[in-house]
Amino acid sequence: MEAVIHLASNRPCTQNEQYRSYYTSNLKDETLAAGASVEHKNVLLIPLVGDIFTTQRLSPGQAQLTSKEITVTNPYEEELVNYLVIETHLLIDGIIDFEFDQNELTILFPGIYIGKYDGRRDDVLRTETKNALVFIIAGAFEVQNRLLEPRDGLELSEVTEIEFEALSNEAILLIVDVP
Amino acid sequence: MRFKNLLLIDDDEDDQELFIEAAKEASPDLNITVVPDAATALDKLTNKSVVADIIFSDLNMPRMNGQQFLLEIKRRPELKDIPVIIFSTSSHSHTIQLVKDFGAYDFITKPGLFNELVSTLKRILE
Repeated sequence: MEAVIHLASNRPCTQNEQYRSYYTSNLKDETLAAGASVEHKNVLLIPLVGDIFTTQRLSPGQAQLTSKEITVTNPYEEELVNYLVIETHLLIDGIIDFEFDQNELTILFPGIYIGKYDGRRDDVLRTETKNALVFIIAGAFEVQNRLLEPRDGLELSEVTEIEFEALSNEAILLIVDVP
Repeated sequence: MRFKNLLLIDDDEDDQELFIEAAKEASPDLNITVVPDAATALDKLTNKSVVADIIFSDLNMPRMNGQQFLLEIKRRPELKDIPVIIFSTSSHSHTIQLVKDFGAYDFITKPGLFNELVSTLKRILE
């Protein structure tokens, strides 16, 4: 198994007055100013703080997968929004509402998992593709014996099982199988 | 004293108790209301069943996290000027930057010692 850590503080960043995007492999952690827009294609969108507008208004607890070009807009008059953009080869279009099953992974779309865990709870994901990106949305986790904090990422290759343990309450992680 | 009514949002009962004791020592005349989650706090602030001059909020909580709470407070004209201090065990630089981007008045890492917490609260409340 090989593992590459992408620390939040070391991520490459693109930004201007309206937009900031941190890169972790095929995942972007974007913040968009009020009223601003940005275009994406073949992506999964997950709002984290605030709503975004695409083909409809998306709130935290929803995710949209699109194979088409899509414009993401911050619908607010003054506030920032923060969301994740994951590049994907899945040729599926859809929006899902998801709720966390505490201490279990929820499948958002094939090969894309999200989970919220209490401190000291652990879990294992068996991957089919043997390559995966783990991204910490909130809290802290130990993943494959590596400490990861908010917005840190871990790229894994030649892995069949991903073992992780939450180190804080209400800790949230995202796992993306990479073909 | 600048603040009379403090709202604490924290789902951890031990942290609630520690905070209340420290806040009373830092500012004995302070009225303290504790709500265990941000969604309930937002409802209570909106319908005015809770009044707050200053809010301390944990970051990672069920139902609504501290960042989303900040955004919802800033969207409401009648609430947006209340200073919100994110009070978390985290000391992660990116988290601090993100909550400040979203309008937090300050970000405080929960001190491990009671006296440190009292000193921190005195600095903010006086």
